[in-house]
Parts: sequence; C-alpha cells; structure tokens
Amino acid sequence: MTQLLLTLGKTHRQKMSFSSSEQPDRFAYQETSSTDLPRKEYYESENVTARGEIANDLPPILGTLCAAAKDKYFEDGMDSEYSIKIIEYIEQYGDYAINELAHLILNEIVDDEVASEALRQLGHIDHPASYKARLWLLEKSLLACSSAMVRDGALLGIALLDDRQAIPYLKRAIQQEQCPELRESIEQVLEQLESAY
Amino acid sequence: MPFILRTIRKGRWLLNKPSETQEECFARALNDLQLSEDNKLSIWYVEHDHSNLERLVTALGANRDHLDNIDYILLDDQWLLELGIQSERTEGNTPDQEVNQRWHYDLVEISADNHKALTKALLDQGQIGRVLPKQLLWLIEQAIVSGDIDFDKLKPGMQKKFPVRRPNLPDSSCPGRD
Repeated sequence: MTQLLLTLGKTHRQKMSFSSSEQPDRFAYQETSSTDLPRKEYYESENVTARGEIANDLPPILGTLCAAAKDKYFEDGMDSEYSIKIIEYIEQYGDYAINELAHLILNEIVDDEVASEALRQLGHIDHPASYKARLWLLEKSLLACSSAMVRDGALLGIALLDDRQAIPYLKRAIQQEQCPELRESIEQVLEQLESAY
Repeated sequence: MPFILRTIRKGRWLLNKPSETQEECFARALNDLQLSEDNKLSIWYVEHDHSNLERLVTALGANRDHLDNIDYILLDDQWLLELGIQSERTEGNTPDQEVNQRWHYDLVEISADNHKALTKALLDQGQIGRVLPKQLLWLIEQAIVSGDIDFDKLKPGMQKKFPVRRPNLPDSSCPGRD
C-alpha cells in the first residue's frame, strides 16, 4: 500500500535571492511504502533527505523560468514558451520538479499569474510518474494559497485531472473560500467529479 | 436585449486578495481587453435569450492550441449605447463558419476613456461564465458530429482529443500534453 508523506522541511540549497538565514520553509512531497491506508500528512524536519526532497543536482531552472515569465500574458488553451518548458521540466525531473514548484508557489515566491499558469499545466501533463505529486500540489495550493488567482489555477488543474480523490479537498475548499465567485467555480468542479464514472 | 461576449481568464477578474484595491483588479482585467493597433476590440454577440451562447462558446473553445476551460464575460449591449461605442460586423475566426459570419463584431474607434469605462462596466455589471474542459470536450464532439465545427480547422493539439479521427493527424509539437 502506498503512503503519502508531505513534508515541510528546510532546504539545503541556496535558492533564488534568499540567504541561508532567510530561507522559507520547504514544502516537499514524499512517497513511501506502508501497510497503512493511504494518507497525507505533514512533518517538519531540519534534515529532510528522503525521496521527495529537491535533488542537489537539480538545475535551478524553475525559479529562473518563473521569474522570466512575470508580466507575460497567458491565454486559456494556448501554448506558451513557459507552459511548454514547465511540462518538459516536470517530465524530466518528476517529483523533484514538483517539489521545486511547490516551494516557489506555496511560499508565494513567484508572481500570482505565473503560479496560476503553472498549476493549470499540472493538470495537462501526461506523466503518470508525477501524478500523485501533481495532485498533491494542486490540492495544497487550492487550500493554502492567499491569491484567488492562484487558487483558481489549482482548481482548473484539478478539473483537468478529473480525479475523485480530490473531492474531500474541494469540499473543504468550499467551506473556507471567501471569494464567492471562486466558491461557485469550486462547486462546479465538485459537481463534475461527483458525477464522474 | 442582446449581450456582448468577450473571452477572459476568470482569475484576473476576481478580487485577488482581501488587501487588493479595486484599481489593482481593474488594471489586471484590462489585460483581457487589449485593443488592436487601430483601437478595435473583438467581441461576439449573444442573443437576448442566450440561444446561441452554447454554440458560440463551443466554437471559441475549439479555436485553441489544446483543450482547456473557457471563461467569458457577458454585458448587456445597451452599455455600448450608453458609452457611445460603435460596433461593426466582421468575420470571426473559429472552426464554426456560421458563428464567424453571424455573431462576430469589432468595437471600433475606442478611446482611452471609453476603454476604461467599458472595463469598469464589465467589472461592475458583467456576468462571468465558465465551461470546464470536460464539458467543452463533449460540446466540441457534438459540434463535429453535427457538422457545425469543421474538424480539419481544429489545431493538432485539439484534434488529437478526438481519437476516432486521429489516424489522419500529424504529430503535435507540444511535449507531453495530455
């Protein structure tokens, strides 16, 4: 049985413009084997080295890519250099890339529009190996990000994955959502998932 | 009264954060209403009873690189009179020829003041709608079957969503998109 561990640790690598003392918390997705039922939880650690942490040899492309995409205009359904590169990067680095993206999005380091676009792309990617990590980041972003635009991007990624596993997260998001228009959109996606299969 | 329709990205029209001002939201919404070099804005007309809305949104959703949601905003066309904005019928560019010929218009000679006033009217009075990708896929499929949408005019990334027709397709240049 697969157990999902979602870790909140500290990075061991210099990122973006942060000094070591300014490093934001590191969110990471981790998958381990267990006989328990599948579950998701968070823990905090100073020395996260297990699978799921960002690889030390991972080129720091995503931060640069996201920074370069700031002020770009994205259109629904249209490819962009940014969206194509995000997909390529995740296909190449799998969960490691998702963890890098989680760090950038959940710590709200990148521009809201850029984060929203990245989350939408997580729903488009045909890459089974990173599926669980992508779903995790989408659920987490929907519940935790302070920007309505970013939450909307996460919601659309979830709608694209069309996975009933997201139903409890959508129900929770409806309860806590303060933006009425976005709450309506979450209800629309919930209806889609509940009527699936 | 009929409505004008413009495709948008809904997230840009939401109050993004509680601390955000209306001006910041306004500035972001303007991104979805960029004028052409000759100060025109492409819009579509929706009948008063919304009878053409589904067909129109399906055609617009089909005119993409790949399947995605489609977000749109509707505004009572009386606002164009109110703001003194003129429109002229021009041919649209979707895979549905009837949609292109009947319901596409350009708003013309839009001044900076009119542009701002129209954006404000849309923000304050517009009705935002969304069709999710899964539903849009079904709508496009039905439109292809009925002949409303010309399959050959779909872009490769969209065509590959319809496997029955797939043997005739060139490979998509987009990596890994589902």
